[in-house]
Amino acid sequence: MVASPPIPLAHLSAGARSRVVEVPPEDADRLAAEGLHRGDTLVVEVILPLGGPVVVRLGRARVAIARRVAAGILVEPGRST
Amino acid sequence: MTGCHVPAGLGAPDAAVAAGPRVGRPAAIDLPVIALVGRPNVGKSTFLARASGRFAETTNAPGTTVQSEAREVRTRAGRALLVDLPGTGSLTDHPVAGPPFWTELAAAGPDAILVVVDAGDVARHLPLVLACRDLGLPVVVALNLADEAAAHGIGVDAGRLAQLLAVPVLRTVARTGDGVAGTVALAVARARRRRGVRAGTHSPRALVPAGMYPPAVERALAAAAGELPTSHALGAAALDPSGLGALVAAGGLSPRGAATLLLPDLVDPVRRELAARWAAEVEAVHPRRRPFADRLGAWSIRPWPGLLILALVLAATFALVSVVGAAAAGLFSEAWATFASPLIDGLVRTLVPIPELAAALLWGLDSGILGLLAIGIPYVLLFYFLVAALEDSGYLTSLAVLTDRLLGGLGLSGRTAIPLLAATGCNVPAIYGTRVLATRRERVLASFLVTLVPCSARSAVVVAALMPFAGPVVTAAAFALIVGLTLAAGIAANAMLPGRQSPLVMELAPLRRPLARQVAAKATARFRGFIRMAAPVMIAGSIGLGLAYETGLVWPATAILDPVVVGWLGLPSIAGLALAFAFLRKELALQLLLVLAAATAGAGIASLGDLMTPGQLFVYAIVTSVSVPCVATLAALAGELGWRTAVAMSAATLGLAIGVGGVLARLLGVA
Repeated sequence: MVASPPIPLAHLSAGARSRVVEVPPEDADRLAAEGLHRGDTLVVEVILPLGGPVVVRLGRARVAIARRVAAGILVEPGRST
Repeated sequence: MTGCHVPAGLGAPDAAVAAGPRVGRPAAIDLPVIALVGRPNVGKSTFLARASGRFAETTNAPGTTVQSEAREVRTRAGRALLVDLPGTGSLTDHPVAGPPFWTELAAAGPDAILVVVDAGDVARHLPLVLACRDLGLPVVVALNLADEAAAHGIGVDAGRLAQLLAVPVLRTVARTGDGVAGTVALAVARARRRRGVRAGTHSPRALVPAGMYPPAVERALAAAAGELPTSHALGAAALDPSGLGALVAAGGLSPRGAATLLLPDLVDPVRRELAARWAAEVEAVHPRRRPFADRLGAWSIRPWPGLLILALVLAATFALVSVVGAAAAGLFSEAWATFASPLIDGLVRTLVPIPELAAALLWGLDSGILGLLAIGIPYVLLFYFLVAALEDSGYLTSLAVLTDRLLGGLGLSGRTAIPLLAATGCNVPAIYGTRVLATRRERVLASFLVTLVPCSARSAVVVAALMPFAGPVVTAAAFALIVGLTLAAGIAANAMLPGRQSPLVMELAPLRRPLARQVAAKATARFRGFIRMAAPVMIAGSIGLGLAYETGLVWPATAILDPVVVGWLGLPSIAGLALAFAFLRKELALQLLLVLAAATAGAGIASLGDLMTPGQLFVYAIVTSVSVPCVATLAALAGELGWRTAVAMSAATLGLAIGVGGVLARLLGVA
């Protein structure tokens, strides 16, 4: 993992792999219920236009996250693979 | 495979008892209970269907009630009660603002837990297995979806995984039934053994090796377990707020198990770490071209070609319902008029000597039942089949992603797309479907939109009123206007209600070919529910209407409605009556109009075209579609959200319908 400053998940582009470094406390429960926690590695699959949700891949699962929530998730971008 | 040990004497199946759905634990038959636990979309419900040999309404289908279902199963290891619990990510998850999942699990009183996991995504599913194992109950793991995993080039060493977990792990494919019977039989054997241990007839054996988590975590767990209230303190709720102490004392789980439920923040990360390590050890991945269903799933959530796929799905649905449904409805009505009508007519007139009363009864028993079935079978049942197939395919979650932004403008998340689509069949199940939404605010907003979405009966009125007399373009314009009004009303309601929407966070279901038996079972179960709900209302309402008509009581009522109907909407006087009675059954709006027209104007009126101009028909169709939901919808709204909300919504739709109708009447020059 390349050490670079954390950025919001919503700012990544499709295909980017990154590690979650911070989850907003108010959304932590609903994200955990879908299997997304601090420290997880995820890949952005699609970012829907016009403020639509961000779809990320966690292992083999795909999780759709509203843009508002994705804006609060801080990630450390890594190498795209 | 480890420990496929079946205690002696359990092989002979007991006397035949009809397997049937039971919710809760029947006191009469004291069978061992096996809880079915797994993440959503892992195929638990299909597993239950295969294990019990009966497909039925599933529990985690979006847009349906979320509740557990118990079924009796018979295996070579004996009989047991298999309880299907809602899908969950962990034992401490809270489903929609309810108590944590483990309380529901504990309420089932399981003797063993059968955890269904995705063979293609072991790392994500193992933490739940570890959590179940920590409880101190016997656990059996079904490595399900093994066929899909293989299609993705993923192989899992079940034997090694069983060794690591120290619980049996069996490969299953619930869709085909492969491995299901053996897995359930093993769980039954384990459950019976535990019963034996508790009754003192079997010797206990260690289920969980100690020290599987790091020493610091185990020490914290042991300390928490030691602090649990003992049986002496039972009854003192203040000392045992979680109820775990009592549960441990009753033998429902081990003290260490209770401690893991009290300290999720401590054990969850450790479990995930262990899961990732073990998954890497047991998985063998052979890179392979992504299966077509996967690529289709990826396309379906991108604007391109996702929106094209969405348009095709909607067009196919609409075409199938309007062409096949309309043809079937026509055939059905003809068959009814030829065979059933004369029979019912003769019977009622023979048995009931008073002609007016007989005629009133026939409104309900002849045309009422016809109305129910002629809408119900061709439109509602067909639509339920389509929705069940879409649900089973996993496409509805893609739909939720695509529509999330649009629905966000209405204060709703993409999840609402599912009940809204269901509403085009019938509003009533769609209102129940809003239960999947997180907050009351969202449920109120979504239910309001649902009541504005034309159901199949209202669509039938719009089509029948406009298609023959005004043409397809005007019909399409009417639907466009109704959609526009629905969106506008949604935006207004969102602005008026305080609060904000809860955001979408949702796992996407992988696309799969729907399973015909499952789709059929789901559709027919919902259809039965629809008939149970609608039949009494439609038949009794039609009889009441018949009485009012046959006794002539309806005519004074027209005078009361005339200022609005004639003066403001520019419609003939009798149209008001039809509109008012459409509250009972929306499709009555047309039938009744013809009956009333023939009764007042004589035989010269053969079709709606003789009674109203195309402009008037347009106003009439819009007002019928938008105004007050039918009585069945009102009852569903009141049951779900309370009478005040239900009446307020109805008043809002009535106001909208009359307001828009009057404006249209002026624009079209009919008033």
